Amino acid sequence: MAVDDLYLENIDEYINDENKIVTYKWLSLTLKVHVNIAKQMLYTFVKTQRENKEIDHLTVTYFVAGVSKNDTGEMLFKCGVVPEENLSQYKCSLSVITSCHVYSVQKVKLKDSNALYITDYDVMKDNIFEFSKYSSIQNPRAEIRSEDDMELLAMQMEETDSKPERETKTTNRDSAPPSRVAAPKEKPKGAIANMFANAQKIKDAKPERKDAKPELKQENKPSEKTTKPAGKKQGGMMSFFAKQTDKSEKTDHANKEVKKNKESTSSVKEQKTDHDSKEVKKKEESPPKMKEKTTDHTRKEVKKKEELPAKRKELSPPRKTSRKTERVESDDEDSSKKKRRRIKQDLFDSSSEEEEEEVEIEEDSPVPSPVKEPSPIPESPSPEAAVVDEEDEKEEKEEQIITRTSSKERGEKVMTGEKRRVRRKKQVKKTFMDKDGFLVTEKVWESESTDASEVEEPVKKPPVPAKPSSPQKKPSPKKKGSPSKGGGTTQTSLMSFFKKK
Amino acid sequence: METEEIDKNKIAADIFAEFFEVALHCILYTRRLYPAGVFERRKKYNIPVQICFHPEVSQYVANVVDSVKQLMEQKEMEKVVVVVFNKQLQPVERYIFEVVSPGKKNSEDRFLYQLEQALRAFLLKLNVCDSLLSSLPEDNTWTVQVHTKNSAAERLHDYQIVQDFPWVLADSSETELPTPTLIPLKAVDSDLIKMQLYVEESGFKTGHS
Repeated sequence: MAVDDLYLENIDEYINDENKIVTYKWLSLTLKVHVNIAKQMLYTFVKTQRENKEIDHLTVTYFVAGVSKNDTGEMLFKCGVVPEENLSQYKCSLSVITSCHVYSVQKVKLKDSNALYITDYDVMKDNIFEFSKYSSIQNPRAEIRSEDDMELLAMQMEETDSKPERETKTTNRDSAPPSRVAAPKEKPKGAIANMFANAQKIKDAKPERKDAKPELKQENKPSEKTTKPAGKKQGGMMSFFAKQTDKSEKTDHANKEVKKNKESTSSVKEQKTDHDSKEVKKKEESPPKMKEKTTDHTRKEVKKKEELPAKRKELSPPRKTSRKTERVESDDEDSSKKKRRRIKQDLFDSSSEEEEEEVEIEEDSPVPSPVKEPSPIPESPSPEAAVVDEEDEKEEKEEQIITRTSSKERGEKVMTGEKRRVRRKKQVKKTFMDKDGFLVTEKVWESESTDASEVEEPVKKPPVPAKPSSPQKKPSPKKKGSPSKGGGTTQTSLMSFFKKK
Repeated sequence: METEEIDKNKIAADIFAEFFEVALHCILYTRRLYPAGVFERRKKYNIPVQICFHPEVSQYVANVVDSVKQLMEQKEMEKVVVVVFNKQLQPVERYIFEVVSPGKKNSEDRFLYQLEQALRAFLLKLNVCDSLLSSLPEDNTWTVQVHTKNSAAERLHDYQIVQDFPWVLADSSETELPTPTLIPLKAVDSDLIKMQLYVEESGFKTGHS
């Protein structure tokens, strides 16, 4: 009893002096007693206070639990915290009362349960592991998991939730260090990641199959997407192109016969790279191998000014072939896979197309000659030259590549989704007399558009004139991500990319 | 170092602005300045808080908080006061949030858990301040006053033109309480925010003009 007196004094202090809200839970944890004892203490306290003082300044809430019958005759087990005034009323609503005890005692008249919750919040947080010690509700077999267990669980969770991300991570890791940074960032992109998760799983399931083009496409697509949103553009582009490598490998392989483009040289190189990249398939390829194919593309962006025009060329033709191949294949696949593939195709196609087209655009707006000059292979056939120029320009601005790619993707998507727009840009040599009387021959890009729709063209144009300075040969710092440079194009294209989904 | 200071200032201003908005709503709810029906339960600092969702009220509160944040960022604000007037427009209650610039405590509160806990305690105290204060009469109105320096007021004037939310100079009848009693509520002292909250209430609360 002496103990109880001390405790009662404590409660008195808390309630009257400090004006606290004393819940039985809070009391049990603060005084380190069992909850039942806490409840009893509160009850005793209220009783004595009310007996001793005439003015009842205490408000009490009760916890009531019991069985009740609702209108349809069902038996419900209800429990609730009710203020004293409503106590009898609540009790009447229950046919059988299983428990009723004091929940809290305080001086203030409570308006709602907010304050009760707040009261318990902090003290519960502090004693989160010991709470069951003082409670009647216990499970002796319940144990706190050890750290190792927690880690295991966490890993399992990660595996199930972000398996594709993981896979992407592993593949990216091999491809390039920057992609490693990209990979962890993929995780937060939950929705996108999950979307690609399925694709990624498929990819992982059939890593070695050359026939698994659709899967590759799918995996490429998710990997691209996962890596792309991952903010680290370099890494993202790396994986993007890494995956493209796999994809384009196959498509190029298959499409070699299908596609004979103007690039004779490039196609030869393509084949070489195709072969090489085929071996690599999984992006576990070492960086040099990656170079050969789409990695080239990636590397261009990753390594400043290292990209060789040749690689670029290789990229564009493979892309074209891949596009065709993909289109052929898409017919045979499921609709769901088709969808993804198409997007992938679009990505790839658009990137390749963009390269060419954008090059043309860029050449148009700025001074063509300086653009062409730095190209190491000025004598190559026109598409190659275009690519070269592209590359030069791209060396200066990595983002534009991404921009173009994205806008291309958009274009592609539009194409596959709606009507087939064939855009061809030809480099035409024009000879004319300039003011000094010299005969000047210049390569001029003319774009021919069959089934033209104006959407793509104008969109591409604005970003080009918007960056008149970029085509210049100044070694502008290559920015990692495209957002700043890509400006509207990147953004819109990316967004349209996602919308197409 | 200077940028560090400025950053801290900005963060402190942000935190205070958030807290002040929630506290303001809490006062409106607890003191029944608006009927309980217009309040909705939301979560802040991991506890339930009652927020008024009447559009004009919430807009007004948002504007007030915005201006207060401006002042706070420039460290020009001495205290913010929420004043409750009775029918005759005499102040009957003043909730004073007194803010001073925090000292260099450098305590290990990197993730601001302790600060969050302290702010939670503030809100809890506001919830139960009913018992400490005598009840308010009917038909109240309320406003927010800011104690600051003249120069800051000028600067705020320019800012508020943009925001279309002008602050006017309050006269002494609105700021002074007759026969006030002081009831301290809570104080917090962290390395970002150092403030205390107390209430002044007038002896004339019960409808007596």
